[in-house]
Amino acid sequence: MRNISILLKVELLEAVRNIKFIWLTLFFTLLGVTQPLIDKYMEVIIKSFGGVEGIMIDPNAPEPQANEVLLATFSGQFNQIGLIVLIISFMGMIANEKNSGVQGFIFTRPVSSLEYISSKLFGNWLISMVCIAIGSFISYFYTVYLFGYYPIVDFFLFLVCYSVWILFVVSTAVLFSTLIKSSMFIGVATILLSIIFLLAGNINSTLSLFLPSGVLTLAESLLLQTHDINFLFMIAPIVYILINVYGAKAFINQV
Amino acid sequence: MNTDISVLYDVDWSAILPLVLPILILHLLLLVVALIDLYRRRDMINHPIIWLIVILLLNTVGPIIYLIIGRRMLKNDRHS
Repeated sequence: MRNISILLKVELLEAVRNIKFIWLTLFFTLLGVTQPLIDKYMEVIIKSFGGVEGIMIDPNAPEPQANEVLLATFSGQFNQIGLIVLIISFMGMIANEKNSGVQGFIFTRPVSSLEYISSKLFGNWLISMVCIAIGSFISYFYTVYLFGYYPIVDFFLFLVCYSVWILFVVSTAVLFSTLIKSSMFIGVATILLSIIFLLAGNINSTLSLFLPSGVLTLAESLLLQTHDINFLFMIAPIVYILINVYGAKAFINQV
Repeated sequence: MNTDISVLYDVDWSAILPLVLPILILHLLLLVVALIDLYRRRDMINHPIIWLIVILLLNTVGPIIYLIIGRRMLKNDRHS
């Protein structure tokens, strides 16, 4: 336990030194602020950027609700370009240490590979979630200001569910880092796999019970406050995360 | 891509400014963070001039590419 906390501190310190906290937070804030503004001022934007005679927005269209805009922020921005940049930001976490020999140096100490893997996993998850949380709370305040009230406790619950999905993505990157040497390929493989899971999770809800992206279905129903909230969706991502961690543990000493 | 800059004169800036301002400020912050980091590492990294051009010309993507990849590509480094 002590080893994990020390390695975790190293990971966080490295992120502070790399100014990763600053730019990742700035990036997610930028993504989070853009979506509500686009939704609110679509008419002004279309009018201002010219050459659109004949295009009109239905004046009877209902104003979008705050939770719909928040959902659009997460599914449209954070889960696409945000996820790609996030994965690129931590794709080298194990591969760089392996290539420069730091990993071998760590294993000369009494540190088990499970401790090393879980410190990497939770360290990068913590960094990502701090940045995403700051960005999404600024996005939340914007949305509330522009579209009306939405309870912050519900949004927090949504964020907790979303963090499970991020934990799965980080664990996938950890698993690939033990298999592949080049950090570029680790990034590409992780991005592809998570996008496949995202697409497959939207096919139907029975299938997404068995997929890690099912937790996003749960998060969505929490945010939209529909009545079919099914906490069984939590099981699949946790199983997948455990498979990834133990798979990484099995592979890390072989390659 | 629309390269006709004269369109910018027709924009109703007073209507659009309050909603664009926070985004502009955030872009500027990201740019400044990348530039400060580039300035502090100008003797360490490969081709600082090319990274300067990338940061200045590619909006949002440029600073992020520099901060992820560029600042790790050091001179005399076997691994990059």
